[in-house]
Amino acid sequence: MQGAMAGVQVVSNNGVPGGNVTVRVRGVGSINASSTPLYIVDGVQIVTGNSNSLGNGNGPEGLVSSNLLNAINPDDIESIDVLKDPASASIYGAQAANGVVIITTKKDRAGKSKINFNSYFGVSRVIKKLDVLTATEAVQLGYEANANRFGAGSANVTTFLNGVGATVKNGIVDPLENTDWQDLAFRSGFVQNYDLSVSGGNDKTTFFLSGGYNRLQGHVLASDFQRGSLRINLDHKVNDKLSIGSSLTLSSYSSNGVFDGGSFGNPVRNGFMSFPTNKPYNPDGSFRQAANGQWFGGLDNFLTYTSLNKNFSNVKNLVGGINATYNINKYLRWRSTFNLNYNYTEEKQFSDPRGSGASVNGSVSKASTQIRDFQTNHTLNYARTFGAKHAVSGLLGAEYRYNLQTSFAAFGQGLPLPQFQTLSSTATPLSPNEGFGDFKLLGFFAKAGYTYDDKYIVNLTVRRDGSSRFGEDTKFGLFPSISTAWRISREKFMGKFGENNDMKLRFSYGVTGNQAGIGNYASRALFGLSGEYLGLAGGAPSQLGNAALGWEENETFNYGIDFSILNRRVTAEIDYFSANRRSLLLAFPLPPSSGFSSITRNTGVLQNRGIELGLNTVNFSTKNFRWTTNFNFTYVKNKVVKLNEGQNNIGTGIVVGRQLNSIFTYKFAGVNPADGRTMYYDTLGNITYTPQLRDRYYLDKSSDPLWFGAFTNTLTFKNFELRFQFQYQGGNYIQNSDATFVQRAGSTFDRNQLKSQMLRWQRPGDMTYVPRPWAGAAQPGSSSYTFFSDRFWERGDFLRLKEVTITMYLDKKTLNRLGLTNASFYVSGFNLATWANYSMFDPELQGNDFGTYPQAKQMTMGLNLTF
Amino acid sequence: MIMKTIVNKIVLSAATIGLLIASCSDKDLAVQPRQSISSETALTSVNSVDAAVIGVYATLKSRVLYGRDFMAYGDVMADNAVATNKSGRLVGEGRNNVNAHYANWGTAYSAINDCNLVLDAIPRISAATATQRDRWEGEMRFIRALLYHDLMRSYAYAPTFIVSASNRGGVVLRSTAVDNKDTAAAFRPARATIQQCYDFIINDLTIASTKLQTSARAGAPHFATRAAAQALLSRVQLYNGNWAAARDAATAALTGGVGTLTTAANHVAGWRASTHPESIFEVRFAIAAESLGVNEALQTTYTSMGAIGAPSTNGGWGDMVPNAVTLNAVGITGFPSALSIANTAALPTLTRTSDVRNQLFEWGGQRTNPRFIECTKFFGKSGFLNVDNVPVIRHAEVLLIRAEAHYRLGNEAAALTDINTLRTNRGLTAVTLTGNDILEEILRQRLAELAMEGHRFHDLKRLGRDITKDPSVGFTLAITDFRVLAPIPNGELIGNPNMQQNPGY
Repeated sequence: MQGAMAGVQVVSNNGVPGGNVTVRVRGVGSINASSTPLYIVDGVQIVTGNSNSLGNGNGPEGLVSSNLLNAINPDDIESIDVLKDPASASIYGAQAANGVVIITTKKDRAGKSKINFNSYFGVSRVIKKLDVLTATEAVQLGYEANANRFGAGSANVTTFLNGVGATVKNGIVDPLENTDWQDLAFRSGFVQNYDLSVSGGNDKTTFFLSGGYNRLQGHVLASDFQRGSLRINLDHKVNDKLSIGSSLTLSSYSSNGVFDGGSFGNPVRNGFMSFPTNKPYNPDGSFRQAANGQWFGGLDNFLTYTSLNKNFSNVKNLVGGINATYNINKYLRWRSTFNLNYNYTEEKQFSDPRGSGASVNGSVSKASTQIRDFQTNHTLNYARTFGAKHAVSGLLGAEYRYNLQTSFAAFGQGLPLPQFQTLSSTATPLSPNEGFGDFKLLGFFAKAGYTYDDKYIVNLTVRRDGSSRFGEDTKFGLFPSISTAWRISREKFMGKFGENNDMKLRFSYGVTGNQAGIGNYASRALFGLSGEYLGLAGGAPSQLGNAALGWEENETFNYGIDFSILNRRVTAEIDYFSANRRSLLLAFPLPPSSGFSSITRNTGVLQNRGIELGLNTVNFSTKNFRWTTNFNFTYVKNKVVKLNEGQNNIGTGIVVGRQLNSIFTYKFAGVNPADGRTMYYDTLGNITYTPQLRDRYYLDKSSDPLWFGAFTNTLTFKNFELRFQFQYQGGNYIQNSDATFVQRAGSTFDRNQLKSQMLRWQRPGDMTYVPRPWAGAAQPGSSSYTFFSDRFWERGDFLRLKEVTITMYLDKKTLNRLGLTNASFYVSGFNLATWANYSMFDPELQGNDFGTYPQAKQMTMGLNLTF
Repeated sequence: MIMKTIVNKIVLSAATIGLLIASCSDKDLAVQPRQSISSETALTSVNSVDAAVIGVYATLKSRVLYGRDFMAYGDVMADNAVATNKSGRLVGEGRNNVNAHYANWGTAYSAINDCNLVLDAIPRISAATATQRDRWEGEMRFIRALLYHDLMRSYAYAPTFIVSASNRGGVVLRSTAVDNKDTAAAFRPARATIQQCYDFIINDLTIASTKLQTSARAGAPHFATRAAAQALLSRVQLYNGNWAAARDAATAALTGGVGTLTTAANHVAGWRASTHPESIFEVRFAIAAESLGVNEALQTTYTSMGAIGAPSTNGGWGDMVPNAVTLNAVGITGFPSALSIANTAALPTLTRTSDVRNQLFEWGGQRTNPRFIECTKFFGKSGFLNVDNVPVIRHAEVLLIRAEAHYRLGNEAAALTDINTLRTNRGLTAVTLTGNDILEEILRQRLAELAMEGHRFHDLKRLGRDITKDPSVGFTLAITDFRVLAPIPNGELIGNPNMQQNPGY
């Protein structure tokens, strides 16, 4: 779905096997609640997000996949549709404010039974390796850092050189043996995928059965993913009036993951930061550790984590539903659906007593999370055409949803024998934790539509939705919408234009609600048991509550034009939208001396404005050769319009009149050519070496991209098809936290640095942006090299060759000889090339880059057969 | 025909269900949380008030209160300790950077509000006995006084030394609870004067002294007792400059039956015991789950070795270590002037006097280069890694408070008696001094005795003495500098014209 639609931004947050993607429909929609769209698979609202319970306080967060969208096997998907403006999305429920992603799976069809087999294999490598210093270079910078600060003959220099086993002649370090730790952290990934489906039936009963298996070995050590899934779609016509259907999906997916972020066990981060004079193993084959007298600085040998620790998750998922449709008469139809979404996630983390768990003699965490989500939906549909030109439709409906989430987690320490890895073996079981949360949604809706001669189209919708999360008097919200369209090409004054061309003007207005991401009991005044003392349980008020808490609203005006010209070889859709996201939930600050820090109120207003362009062209079309292009572009910019009364900002990132996530930081002015100190601009534009808080300024852009899109070409020649897609995004800055560790000019000489640091200042007159190596990273009278300024906010603009696929279809004759209906063979490459000016792995992320698991380049080849 | 009947039944049931849903109303959206109860039903029974009282004690374990900050900051922000930059924690406080300061405001007021909720609820609990009511009131007033005095120590000057130009008063006084959003949203507090605050605290402690039992509640010194209220009162009166009251409260506390002064023979063992034998009030960290963790607990803040006397083993971070001021005060010499040596170098032998307190300092571990001399007062003495009880006030401090009070009142002989009681119980000989030398000896003993227990910064502040930072930091912080007072959190100032920020922020 990446790159397929204007206005829909799909970002891979990282390269974790089975990892998360962030989907934003027309930008960020809320400040504190969720901006995630609603997902509907075959009419069932899917519980999305992560079901992780671990990672809060019991050690570093593990990167295992519990992305609930993994439950859907991509091979079962027939089509994905995204409803962007509230008028079209409103019928889909209370949570449509962030857009709706409608996924339709492959349907059963009557007729001859059809068997389809699809399989592919592939390999992957990390998208790039960082260019870091060799052992000799790293020691050179460390030597200079010490010599510059303490003097070339000082004890600090001797201690450093002895520690890394180096010698120096005339200020130059003699060559040293190098360890490439990135080679140890990354490996060849491998993917394999098999799918088999059977569909068929007769005019009474149709079926679709599929089974799939996917296995992925990650391109970072110790990470993998596998999924098995099963789907049954069954439909039966009882008689002319009544038909019933059911669908059932079962899936189970597991992953092993590495530790994330700033953790010592993160092989990605420690792969580029481990000091290259270090050796990974002792002569006896055991892991070398700082405790063995080796020079590891502040880091640990990550191989002990990746090989000894465990970080595992398994998700079992069931989505099932039954539905019945009854045609009351020719024009009136009743439809009822009952769906259950059940999810069980199991997680386990083990910290080996021989490695990271040494200080506590080994530890283990285990958690399970269960989600039960029941939905039922009932509609009465009316559709009738009067005469040849008047088409009328109407709909009345009600829906109900109950979501219950429970979890259990516990943690234990003291497992001296690594063969024992269960909670029951721990000497000290700790922090058992039970979680409970539920919410209910209830909605009533009505829709009326009228079309005259397929020329004038009007649809009216109104919803009344209630959520248990809100206050007594504000549980229900009213959400109306209208959409109109005028097919101008059918007007007489357009003459013959309409015969082979098409043109439509659209306008819509609508309000939808958002309650996702808001706490289940957010409106209540609560008293909870918090903390213990001397083995007794303590209680305290946990929340003041606000009985007037209500829905967040999205009010959108949408103006659009669709046209199709040059004998429909060029089709385009252009939209301008202006959305007011209002009644946003904000923490209203209370004086902390009241005993509370804030209450939540519906006060914020955020504006989203943008344009979307989708263009499809048939550039060339002959009997043997066809070339088509899809281009889409989206520009969306948000602005904070209102916060709490009298409040101009929340922190520095949320400021009235500015983009959300604005960046307020110091301005780096380079390195003083005279002495190699880092310089910054102060508030008057003068150079300062020690900037004060007041010297910060706003960067012109925020961490949210302003524009994004894709460009896809498909070329067909006889039996061959070539498809390639470019993806682009930009107008944002990335907070490069990793850079503060690897751009220190060697000044903390226990961690490796980027190659660019060899451009360090060496003698007066040197023009460079890399400061003078200085042990401790702060020369007298200047700021630390790790001081976070716009030096470490990097532009996120990039262009990427996302996908290239060559497919070969077998011709009719061969197919007949082999007894096949269809057969194709394909080779694909993903993330093959990226054009960006970003110093770390990958600009396709938003916000903070801190030990992010990078994406991979991938090559796959596959086979698709239909019998 | 049968088929048709079934069909009709299905249609009928579906329609019925649909209609049922369509007839749903607000009350069908009712859900009930299971991990909390509604505030209205809380604090209506003896058990619920007991739980709320325990909840207040539990808050004292927070990092910003006695979990770490009120032990560590008083030293690292003063002249007798340095931050090692091993994990990066406490570095800003060690350099007295702007905004790197105590941040107990929010947590303390949250706990004060919880105290007030209990105090407001006591008259409503008809089932409670008089003994229960007295105990609840005494304990809540004691903790409220402790929290208020700590707020005063962070955000305001002590009556004994006020920089008039920078004085913006004391803190916000509240004796009733905020319990709903409307009172909270309308709350526009102002700062009381320093004297009003001290009077409020002294009044709480005076009432607590009468309400609390002399015979300790089971669990002392981990619950408040009459001795604890009197000990805290002696400290508060010392800051208040009411020497006679400080002296009398100290005497009452020392004879209050909770804790006892350790001797030269058992002083070090006292620091290894789960409950410190000298504690008059101590915050209990009983089980491993209460640990503040491998980054913020006192053990990891002060030490980096895995076991006492084993500098080759790895433990915590060792973010904060004593400097020459502390080491000389406890009688240790022979360490490098930089305080540290490279991990790979041989350990210099330290020369120690007969002062037993120096046995609580030794060469630390090698977690990141280099290594420092670390303080082992907190070393998982509750039986788990990073789990240590925290003595809030103990006999030696009260003895030194009384010595200072005697001295201020002109009773040099009595002051010397108290000093020498402490000295002889720490392996030192008695001294004979007169005049200002007595005060200096008291301050030296406070430094040696209470090192790394969070007192030095407040001593220099209440005495109006400049803070001569360690040479590695390299400046002297004038006691008139605005950074001596902590910044009041922004949330307190937004939309509240009554509130005054401390100068410089």
